[in-house]
Amino acid sequence: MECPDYEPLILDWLDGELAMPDRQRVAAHVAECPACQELANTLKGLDTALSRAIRPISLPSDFTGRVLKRVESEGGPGRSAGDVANRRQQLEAEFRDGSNRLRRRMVDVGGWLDGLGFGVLGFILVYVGYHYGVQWIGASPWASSLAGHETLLRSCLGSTVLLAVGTVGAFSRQLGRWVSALG
Amino acid sequence: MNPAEAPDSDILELLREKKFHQAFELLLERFKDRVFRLSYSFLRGESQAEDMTQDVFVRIWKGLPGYHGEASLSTWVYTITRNTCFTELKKRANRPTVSLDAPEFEHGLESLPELHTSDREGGLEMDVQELMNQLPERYRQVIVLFYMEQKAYEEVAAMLAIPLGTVKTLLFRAKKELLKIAKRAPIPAAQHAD
Repeated sequence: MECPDYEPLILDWLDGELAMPDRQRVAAHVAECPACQELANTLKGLDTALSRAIRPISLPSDFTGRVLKRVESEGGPGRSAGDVANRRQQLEAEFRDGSNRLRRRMVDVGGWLDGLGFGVLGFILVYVGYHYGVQWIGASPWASSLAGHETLLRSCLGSTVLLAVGTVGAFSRQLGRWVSALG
Repeated sequence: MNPAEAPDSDILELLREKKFHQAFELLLERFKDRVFRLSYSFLRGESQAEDMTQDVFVRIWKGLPGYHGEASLSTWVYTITRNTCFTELKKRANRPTVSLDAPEFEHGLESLPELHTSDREGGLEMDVQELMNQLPERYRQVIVLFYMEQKAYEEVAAMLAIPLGTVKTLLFRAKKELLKIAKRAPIPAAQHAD
């Protein structure tokens, strides 16, 4: 064995961690090798310095009492009342979040009913306009200039009514918000 | 029998009987100093280590019903201690700046006097604290625990959850590194002489 092989063993030897026959072998080597002897002395000095510098620390005498008091305030072992309340809040928040996400994905029934209502209203208005609009125009002062264009008139009237109903339908919710804000 | 050397079967028995209070009191008495020293080896400051030890025991208290003896009691306690300390160190690492008024600084100062020394008998002149501060963290921790635990290799290995051989290797390397640092920048012992 060379000196570098002995080095880690010297530390064990100094700490009394070596068993026979290694203990004897290392002791013999240190006795006859000046370099390892110096290392052993230095390590011994370092060990003394460290032992003196690093002393076991201990807790204040009232520590046990303080810990016991603290765990008493935590309630029984396992989850404390505070933990349970926190967990409940967390679960409720998760549930609300999940519900909101689901709701966003679900069919907007209110919107569909609004659309249906406006569709029926538009149909009635177009029907009334189609049947009676030409008669009203025929009775108006500019009836002579529109004579012969009844079909075009009916189409224009129908489109205008549909456009008006569609626009009101599309903006009805926003209009409602504006109205309620004004109120 | 010294309570710290008593086997843990009494605590396990109390846990089996669901006598958590009694089990906890025994466990606290048996492990508090070792948990404190392990916390200190991570956090360096005594006050911080004391607070950490309290937190560790609160966690242990909460976890008692969930402990069924899969690992030894000491392994379980040390694992909780290490994890709690790691969490604290992570929190510290995330803090952007440290002011002079911050508790870390106060606690750092607290720990200095206890490590200040000069050794002239051994022919080695040094300021141990100064040298220790220059050691890589892993080496520093093993050295601190080794001497605090009265040179108990097995205890250090259990506390850090590393093999016994690794403790020995780390200690040897740490000591060699300390000597290297001491040679590089020797600090005159006279400055600490009484």
